Order: sequence, then C-alpha cells, then structure tokens
Amino acid sequence: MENFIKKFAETIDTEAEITPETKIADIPDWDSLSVISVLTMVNLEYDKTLRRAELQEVVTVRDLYEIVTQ
Amino acid sequence: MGKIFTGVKISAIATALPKEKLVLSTLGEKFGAEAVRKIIKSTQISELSVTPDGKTSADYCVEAARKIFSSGIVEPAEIDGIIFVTETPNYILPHTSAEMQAVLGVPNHALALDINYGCAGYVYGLFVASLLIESGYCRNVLFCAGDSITKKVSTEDKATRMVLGDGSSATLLTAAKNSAPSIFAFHTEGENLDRLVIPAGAFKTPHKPGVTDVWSYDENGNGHTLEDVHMDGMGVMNFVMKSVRALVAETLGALDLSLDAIDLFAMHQANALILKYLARKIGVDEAKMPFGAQKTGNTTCASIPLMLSTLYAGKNENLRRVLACGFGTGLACAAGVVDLHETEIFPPLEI
Repeated sequence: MENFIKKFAETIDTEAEITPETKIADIPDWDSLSVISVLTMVNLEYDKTLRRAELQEVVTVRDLYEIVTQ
Repeated sequence: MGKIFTGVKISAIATALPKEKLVLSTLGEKFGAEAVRKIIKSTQISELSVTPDGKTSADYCVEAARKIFSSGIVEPAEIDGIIFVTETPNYILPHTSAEMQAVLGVPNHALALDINYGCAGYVYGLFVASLLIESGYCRNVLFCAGDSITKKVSTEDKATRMVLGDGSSATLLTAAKNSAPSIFAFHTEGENLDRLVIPAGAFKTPHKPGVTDVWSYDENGNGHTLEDVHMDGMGVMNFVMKSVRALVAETLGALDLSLDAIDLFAMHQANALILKYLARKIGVDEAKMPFGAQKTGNTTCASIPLMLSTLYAGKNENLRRVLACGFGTGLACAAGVVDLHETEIFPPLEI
C-alpha cells in the first residue's frame, strides 16, 4: 500500500499529502491527465487494465489500491 | 497471413508545416497555469503548428512533394499514382488528390486516390502504395499524408487543444527489384469509434444551426460543439494499451524478427507520455522509440514522417529495419516493417 501510494503521488505529480483515506476527487488538480497517467502506471506496474465502470466506484486511494491488487 | 513485399522501396520523405505556432504556456490563463505546466511536462509538447485561415493540409503536402521533385529524384511526369491520406480534405467532393494531381503537374493517366484516415493512416498509405506498385500498375507513387486538424479542435478543450497540431508529408515509393522484405498488419475496433470522433457536420448528423454548433461542457470543464474533435482519453488509452503491443508482436513475428532486430520504432507521435509507456510495455529502449513532436504537437497521419524528418534528415545507413506503427481514430492500429536505409529524408519545411 505504501509503495502504491508513493507511485500514485509521483504519477500525478502532486505535493499534496496522500493517505489511504484521501478522496481522489479532492486532490488539487486531479483531472483527465491524472486519470490517463494513473491508468498507464497501473498497467505497467500491476499489469491491470482499469475500466471506466471500476473507476466510477472509486472514492479513496484505498479503493483504487484494492481494485488494482484484487 | 499477410503479404510480404519485395518489389518496393521508399525513395524519399519530405514534410512541411505551417510556420504559425501556438505556444502552449500562453494558455495558462484559460486552462490554469498549473494544469498547463503538468500537461506540457507529461506530453513534452510545448508548441503546436497551426494552419492559418485560407490554407489546408493539401497546400503543405504540395510543398513537401515539390521538395522531392526539386531534388531531382523523380519528375512529376514519372508519377503514376498519387494518394492523399487525410481527415481534413479540401472538399466534400471531389477527392483532394485530383486537385493535387493538377497543381503538381502529375500526368492525367496517374491513379489519384484519397483515403480518409487518421493517426494509423501513414502506415495504411505505405501499404496501399506498396500494393499499387507490387501489382505492377504503378512504378512511382507519390503518397501524401497530412491534416489541418486544429481547424476542428475546440479552443475550450484542453485534452485536445494542448496536444493536436498540423503537419503534412510527401513520401515517394518506387518499384525496385529484390528490396528488403516489408510486411504490414492491421487492427480495427469500429465498436469504439466514439472514443475519438467529430460527431456532426458530415452526412449522418449534418450541420444544423442551434443544434450541432451549440457549446456543451463536460465534468472536467472542457467545452465542445458536436462539430469539434471529441476525445475520450481513457477509452483511447485502453485501446492503445491493449492493441499496440499485440500488433507489433504480430508484425515482427510475420518476418520472424526479434525486437532487437529493429533499428527504430517509428511510432505515431501521440505524445511523450504514450511513447514512454509503449517503450516500457513493448520492452524496448526509449532511445529506439524517439519522440520528436515537441514543437509541432501530435500531427495525426503526418506524425511518423514528421518525426523522421525532424530527427533523421539525410540518409541513414543504419535504418534497415524500421517498425512504423500508427494508432488512433477508428479506433484503429496499423504496423509495418520497412527499410529506410536508402531513403532520402528531407528536414521539415516551415512555410
């Protein structure tokens, strides 16, 4: 989880503090580029393709981590 | 499966661009300075070439073709086929290649053909030109590819406005004996065409004042009318992640080539983020999959020749096996292995 959060923060190029409970939509400057960047990071690092329907369910960073690693 | 060509060579590649530029850092006020900074950092695209009013991609293709003619490699009178790949033709009818035939002084007996194709279009054009030559019908095909897509990009949509630019190219393919084998492979997913589309303005949904030209804004604050390019970045990226590596593997497999046997991966220059991803996914060094569109933007069907023209001008003895791969509207992906080691590549003309 810690490793995932680190990669997540690097990928979206944010200096905001990210915890498992951070609501993704509340991250400053979270936008469509962030979505694409996270999509590619997850595909490369976790060999997982995220679907739109899955992402719509995601609220927190922990939710995302659980989808990625399930 | 697949056809191996051994009777065609790519003799010359030239490109031409509008000298007019849009410097993306100036869009900070419109889209937010921090968002603009991040997009430029990810895509590495800092400027776009933008076609001015009154000009179209065909004008720049003509200048690129003239560059090839003026070098003495071939004369217009020797051209017996002219292909124009574009999504931004001069007319609904006729095909723009007819106008190019006349403007360039290509003989009346030449075959003239437009192909409506986007980012995979350069590879399609190489394939069709190769077919025309290997069939024996043509000896010298002038293959032009270019778009003035910025005319269809919403100024209120940062996803496309920060990425898409204009560029044009001309490539000469010539009959040759015992050329190095080239092969092509294709993949189409028409069921996902709405991921990258201009929904209205042609015949299915014609222009209708007050309907197709009305602005609407999505959840990211990006605005469009139905007559602008709509891109679903996530949908396109999922397509790229799924299809490109598989098609590259299929193409190389057909010639029994390993990744190491390829001298250059000339990919569609979508943006640096996608190329970086593909280099890792396919498993090649980033240096073998270069990005050269920093000052032009993603120039759709012209992006592959423009990269070659920008980074490989001259003759390149080491470019014996080049994997060219385009992906985008359709959604479609096309890949081919070609030999460029005898190809005269001209630097881009800015006009």
